[in-house]
Amino acid sequence: MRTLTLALLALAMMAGGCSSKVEYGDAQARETVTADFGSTDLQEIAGKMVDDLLSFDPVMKMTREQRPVVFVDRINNKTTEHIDTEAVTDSIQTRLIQSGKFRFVEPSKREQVRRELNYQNESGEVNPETATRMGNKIGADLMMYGNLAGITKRDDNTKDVYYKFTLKLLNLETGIIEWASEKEIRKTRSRSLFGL
Amino acid sequence: MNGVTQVPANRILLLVTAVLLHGCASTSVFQAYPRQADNWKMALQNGRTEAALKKLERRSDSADRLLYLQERARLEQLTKRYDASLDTFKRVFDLYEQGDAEARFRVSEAGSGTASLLTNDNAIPYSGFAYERIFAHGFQALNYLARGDYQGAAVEWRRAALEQRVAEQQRAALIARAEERAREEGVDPRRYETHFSGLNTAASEVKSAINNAWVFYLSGAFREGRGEYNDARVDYKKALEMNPDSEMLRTDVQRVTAKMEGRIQDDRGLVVVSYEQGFVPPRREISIPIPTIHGYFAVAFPTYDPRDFTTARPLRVHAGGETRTTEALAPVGPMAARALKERLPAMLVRQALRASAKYAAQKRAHEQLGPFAAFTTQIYNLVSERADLRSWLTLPAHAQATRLRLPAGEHELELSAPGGGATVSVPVTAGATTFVRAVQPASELRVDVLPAQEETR
Repeated sequence: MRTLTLALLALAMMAGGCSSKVEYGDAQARETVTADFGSTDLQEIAGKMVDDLLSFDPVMKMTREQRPVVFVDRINNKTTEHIDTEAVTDSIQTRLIQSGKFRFVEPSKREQVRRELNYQNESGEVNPETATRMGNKIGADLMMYGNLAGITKRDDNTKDVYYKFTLKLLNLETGIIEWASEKEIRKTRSRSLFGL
Repeated sequence: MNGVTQVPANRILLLVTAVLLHGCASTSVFQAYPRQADNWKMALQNGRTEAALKKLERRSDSADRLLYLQERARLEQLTKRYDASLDTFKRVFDLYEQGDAEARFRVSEAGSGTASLLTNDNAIPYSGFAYERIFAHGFQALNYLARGDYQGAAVEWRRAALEQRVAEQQRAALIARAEERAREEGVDPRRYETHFSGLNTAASEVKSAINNAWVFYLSGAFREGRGEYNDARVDYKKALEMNPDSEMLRTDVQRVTAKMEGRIQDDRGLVVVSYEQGFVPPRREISIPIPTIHGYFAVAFPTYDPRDFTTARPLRVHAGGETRTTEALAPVGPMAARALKERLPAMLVRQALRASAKYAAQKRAHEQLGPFAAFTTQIYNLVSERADLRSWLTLPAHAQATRLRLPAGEHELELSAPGGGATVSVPVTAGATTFVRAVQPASELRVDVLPAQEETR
């Protein structure tokens, strides 16, 4: 009787306490832990945007002779979730740079760059011949911006989320939208009848 | 094998009680929650929150963690620990979302169901109320605002609106289901109406336990300040729907409509003063005789006593030759009363089942173990008969707000309420909204000026 109780207790402790483990997973694997915005959504959006942009005829023509300089504005998050939209634009930016067709400016680093150049040119500590000169920055030709809209519906048994990511490329000189694309995602989570 | 079947009933009872008292049961099973909450309320009143926060932290992993986390997040926010409060509210929302996603019949909940059958509703893990969840999103938006994160604040206002929509839709279905269950169990909630006349009086002061005009108003002002006039108008209109006599809200709807249609260019900015006054009244316990097959059994029920409810006292706001008084947009007490009232049918069913179970235990103890055991069981039944008095008690009694439109620049804002006053310096940006948050748990008025929004796009 006592051994049985002890064995049961030990079993319960094993089942309860020591069952967590860590595993490496495939970063590209489809993630469906919850219906919230997740890694798969991010990758699908970035993939679709880059494919669309690089296969768009006028853009292909535009990038044949030169590599346009792009400035990335923030993506407006209009959903009911806290989504790091910068992670999406970072992904898009990285793939576009890798394609060799576009170049980007980095507005968020301007202050640090200015400080470094001031140090190189004005502190007197840096050999003037090796100092990077100021006033040679290249201005952006295009601005990339967009929206992430979302509709969430929920009832007793299901949660339905819909995301629409819109990305646009604006010609800063002419004010013309040179390209736009959107990606829609819909996910539904249904509640199971029985669980732990 | 024989040994197993012959384990005496008192051993089992002892074991069950020990388990309940110790780990599985929540802390409110044998100590009424309002008594515990006095700690947090006192801490807010005298500003010494360290000890209370420590206590709350220790309980943040208990079965009632949702309740303690809500209290904790509010305490942290009102003592300007915005980052801590933000993280705590995130945990609160995770718990609510877990509740949304959970399977409808949970094995683990069946356990606390049996536990609650032998003790009281306090043994069921706290699952919150829609009105609390909506307040939590409103407060979280203010956390983001305090950090100057406007995208984050915008998300929270949208969440608050979403939760109100969802709760409104689910409400009817939940009530219908509870009533059907009551019919199945042969419990007629109307038979107990007379015992709940106080609760009914309190609940009748509001049309809904869910729609929160204060949250809608702040959300509207925030969106107006961002130039999202269409969204702002929707929010103001919702607030007006709940307070149809408010001249202030009517003017706000008109102004934002004019802005939307481009009829006015605003060179002034909006200063919105939110005023959270007092503490929401706690629930009270009443004893009601419930018929069982063995006769009447006195059971404890939660209710609200209208005498605990105070009328809203406005805050006077004066600046730039203009004086306004805050309007009570969300009476939290009546909202809580209404939320409780809507849960009554389900509670009545549980209490009827519990009365039977407890009576049966008493009878079995008498038959198997004699009069002393029966007496012990009876004492246990009496002691364990406690109403579920849990609710978020550091919420204000009245959530109020008003606004002034002032020219761009720094302004001295004078605030005065019975028992306390303050003068603060408020930055105003043309076309944008600055939030001033005044909180008065007891007599001391605490004022916080949140960072002004940037210039309208």
